[in-house]
Parts: sequence; structure tokens; C-alpha cells
Amino acid sequence: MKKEERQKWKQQIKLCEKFGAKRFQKVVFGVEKAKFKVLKTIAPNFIEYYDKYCDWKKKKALKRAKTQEEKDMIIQRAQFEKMAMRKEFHQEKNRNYHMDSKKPTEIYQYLEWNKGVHKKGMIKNAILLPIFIGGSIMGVPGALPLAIFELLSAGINFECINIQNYNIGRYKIMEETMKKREARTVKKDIEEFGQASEVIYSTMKKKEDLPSWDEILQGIRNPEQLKQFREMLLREQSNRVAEKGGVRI
Amino acid sequence: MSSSLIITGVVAGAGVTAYTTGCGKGFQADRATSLAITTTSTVAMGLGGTLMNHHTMDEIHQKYGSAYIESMSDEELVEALESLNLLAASSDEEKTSKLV
Repeated sequence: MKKEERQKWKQQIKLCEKFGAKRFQKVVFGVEKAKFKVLKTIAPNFIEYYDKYCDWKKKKALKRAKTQEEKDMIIQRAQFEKMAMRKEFHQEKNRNYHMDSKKPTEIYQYLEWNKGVHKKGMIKNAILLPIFIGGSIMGVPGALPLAIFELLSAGINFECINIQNYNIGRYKIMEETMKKREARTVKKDIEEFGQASEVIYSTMKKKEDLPSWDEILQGIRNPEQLKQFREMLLREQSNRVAEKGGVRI
Repeated sequence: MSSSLIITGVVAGAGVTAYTTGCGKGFQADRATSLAITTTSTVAMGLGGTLMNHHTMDEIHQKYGSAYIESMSDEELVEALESLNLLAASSDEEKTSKLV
């Protein structure tokens, strides 16, 4: 990265910090923790409902698909979406806020997407706030609480955009390093778990839905695949323990 | 990826060199020779392409594999490990009974 570009990103990070990015990020993580606790309490079967939603979206998209390639893409997208939501729900980590250490470059698209959502929110606030302020001045009932709500919403949207700009700046400075790290991780994974991954891939390609673990097991043909599966699962367990700092179940 | 590119380059280059040597410099190779040369260079390109696709397929497998394992809950990971241990034990038993 050129020196001027690096300087530009560093200036952006400093500006975002001045507007409270680091402090608000703590609030966001606190809200995220509470969100998952509440969700797991009131909707422990959330994954089942989400799967049904994914299947409904997939069915609609498949009706419009014209080629087999398009259909395959739609099915693949639905499978990956289900897996991504399971990962979020089980590990209590929103994909917009947490970088995957194995796929660090993936976070960038989520940062930009999240920023876009809050930008649209701010546009809505910019339109409605003056209307409700005008309404409350004219004595329209209910306009004042709505104006206060829009003002709070605008503040939250602004801080969320600020956090994303802060994280985008941090990401951009580290981007080259992260791409190299990701390439090394993928290469190492292929060397260590290539055969096991192939079993998972072939099992998933046979059906539209996610296969069960028993269906994956049936695809194991030799001791090397068994050994790789075992090592893959043990490594995943140990990564989670390291991240949680907790006791292995 | 880089080794696949080198192999593609070498094999395809050999095919193309054979073709241009045979058919260049105003010399009209006879039909059978030019067909043989064209086939060689096509196979070379195809082989290089297959080697590159094989490497990309590895990355696709890795993507599916890691996404599936990461989507499992802690309890599912424990159950999966237990089932692998059972499978390993049952395949050891089979080997032992065959020896007996």
C-alpha cells in the first residue's frame, strides 16, 4: 500500500475515534451479547425457522432460474446461508462485527453492507425528522415522541456508520497482510484436511438441504479420511476454547 | 497454483512450438501431421486447464468443509467426535476379526 493511502486511512481511523467509534463499539458488543441471550431464551428453535425462511427464498429464486448453473448457485447460496446463520447463533457472533480468523477478507463485504443499511436509515431519518419536528411545533398529537425517536435513531445510525468507517480503515491498512494470511490458511487446510473436505463437499452436492452428520459419516471410505475428520473437529474445538477462554464441553 | 501454471506453460508451449515449427515458415505440413500437432497442443492446454481446475476444486472443497464444521454447535462437535471414535473402533474390530 502506498504511503499516502496508508496515511489517508490512518486519518480516517483517528477521525472516527474522535466521534466515539471505540466507545460505541463496546455498546454494540454489549447489545449483541444481550440479543443472543434473549434470542436463545425466547426462540431456542430459531435455526429451524431460519431454515424454513431460507427454503422459501430458495424456492422463489429457483422458479425464476433459467439455467442449471443458476439453480446450482441458488442451492449453494441457501446452503451457505444456513451454515453462516448456524455459526452466528451457536458462537453468538454477528458476522458483521467479528472477523473470521481463517477468512479475514470476508469481513469487508459485511462492513460495507452494514454501512449501506445504516446510510439508508439516515436518509429516512433526514426525511422524517423535520416532518415530525414541524408536526410537534404545530401541536400534532404524537409528533413529539416520534421526533424524539427519529432523533435517537439518527444518532445510532450515525455512530454505526462511524464504527464501520473505523473498521473499514483498520481493515484497509491490514488488507495485504490478511490476504496473504488467508491464502496460507487455505493452503494448510487443503494439505491437512483436503480429503475430509471433499467428503463433505460430495455429500452436500447430493442434496439441496444441509446433510446430517450421519450422512457425512457414511461418505467416509478410508482411515485417512477418518483421521482428517477427527483432526478437523479437534482443531475446531480447540479454536473455540481459545476464543472463549472457557472450559471444553 | 503456481506449479499448475508452470506445468500449463511448459506443456502448452511444447504443443504450440511443435505446431508453429511444423506449419510455419511458409511450409505447408501435410494433413495428418498438422492434425497430430493440433491435437497435441489441444491436449496440452486441456491438461494444464485440468491441473488448474483441480487446484480450484481443492479450494472449493475447503470452503464447503470449513463452513460445515464451523456451523456445528459445541454439542454437535462432541457427538461427532464420539461417532468418529466408534467408527474407528468398529473398523479396528473388523480388521482384527479378518486376521483371526
